[in-house]
Amino acid sequence: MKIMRRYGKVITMSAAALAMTAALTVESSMAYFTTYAEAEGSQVVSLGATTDITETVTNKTKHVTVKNTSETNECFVRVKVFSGRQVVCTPQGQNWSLGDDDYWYYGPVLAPGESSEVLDVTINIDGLGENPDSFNVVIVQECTPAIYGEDGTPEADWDVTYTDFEDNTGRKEADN
Amino acid sequence: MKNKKKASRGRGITYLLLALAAVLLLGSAVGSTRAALTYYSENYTAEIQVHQIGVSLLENGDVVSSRNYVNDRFQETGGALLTKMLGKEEKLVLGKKYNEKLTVSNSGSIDEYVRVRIYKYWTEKDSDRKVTTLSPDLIKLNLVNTGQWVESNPGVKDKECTELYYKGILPSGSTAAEFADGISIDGQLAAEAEIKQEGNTITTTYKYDGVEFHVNVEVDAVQTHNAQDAILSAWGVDAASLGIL
Repeated sequence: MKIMRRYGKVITMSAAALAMTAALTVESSMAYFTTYAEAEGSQVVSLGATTDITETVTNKTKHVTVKNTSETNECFVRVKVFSGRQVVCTPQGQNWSLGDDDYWYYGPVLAPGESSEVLDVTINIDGLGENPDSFNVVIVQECTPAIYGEDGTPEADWDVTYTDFEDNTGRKEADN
Repeated sequence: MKNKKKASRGRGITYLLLALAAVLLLGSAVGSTRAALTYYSENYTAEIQVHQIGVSLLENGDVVSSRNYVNDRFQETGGALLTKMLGKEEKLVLGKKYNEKLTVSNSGSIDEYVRVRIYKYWTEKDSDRKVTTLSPDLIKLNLVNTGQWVESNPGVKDKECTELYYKGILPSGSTAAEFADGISIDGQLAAEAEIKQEGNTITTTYKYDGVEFHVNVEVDAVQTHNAQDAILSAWGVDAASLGIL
């Protein structure tokens, strides 16, 4: 206690001086040279597809075309022909090809506003006898948005398809 | 008499210590002042660009943003990314890889360590509100030179921020190897859609039609002197454990 009373002021002042010196040292060591730069960019992704199927019938042949009525987006289309067992349908058309899943695929991508080539579906009803009452030939069309490869080549991903056969999407009965 | 002598000696020690503390304090203050004076005199006398740190962000070879210390103040330029991504009348298509070469140059006069932080996110149509149901991973910024640019959190999915640390020193005046070379939007963006049929017309309405993707790139640079502490102080990371020193 005696020592504290005698040297108390000295110790306090020395401690204060040391603290101030330390504070000065800390401040200078925290100053590092730094800088930064930044930039931001954005783009809008416009999606959406609208397709329209047109069918006309002449001489037991259905003429099918599909139009991409979207204003902005490209798409691929395919159709499937359904008929009774005794009705034989033979589709044929430029750029149309039959896939393993019985869909007829239109090869080129359809640009906005563009229509496909005509797919002619010839209908043979000989199996129905001489005087058939009626028959149906149903065309179902599907579309999928054009997906692009890294080099910009359009590709179709038919696993991403937006249609529902139960809703009779694209269905149209054939006149006989 | 004896007590008077003792008291006088005690006061003497006190004054001596006080004087010593004052000299110490003065000495440290002078040190700082001298350092500051040295710094200025270097600039004035020889225009040695010893302390002029600077960094620039480059997109497809052009500087889009920079911040350089010149003539005792920071000079900044700011720009936007992706402005030349699409040509005139060109529409963004899913899956296509667009040219987006990004890198960093040391536009200062001292060597530096650099890092890049890339933020990717989506906002709603005609709004600044973020779309949290869309993964930032659908914005595919193709990262390259991964041996030179060390990612701090590799393999983490759906992250909004990617941190890349340039391995080693980026010398003054030099440009680093690119950390990205292209950008594309994943076709999965179109996976959610609603189909409507009216007559012979099928309309596909996409859930994410009109959304906007954003890419924000931040570049940070720090001095190479006392790098370990400088990086820890400026960026809050242990440079040694990242392996970038």
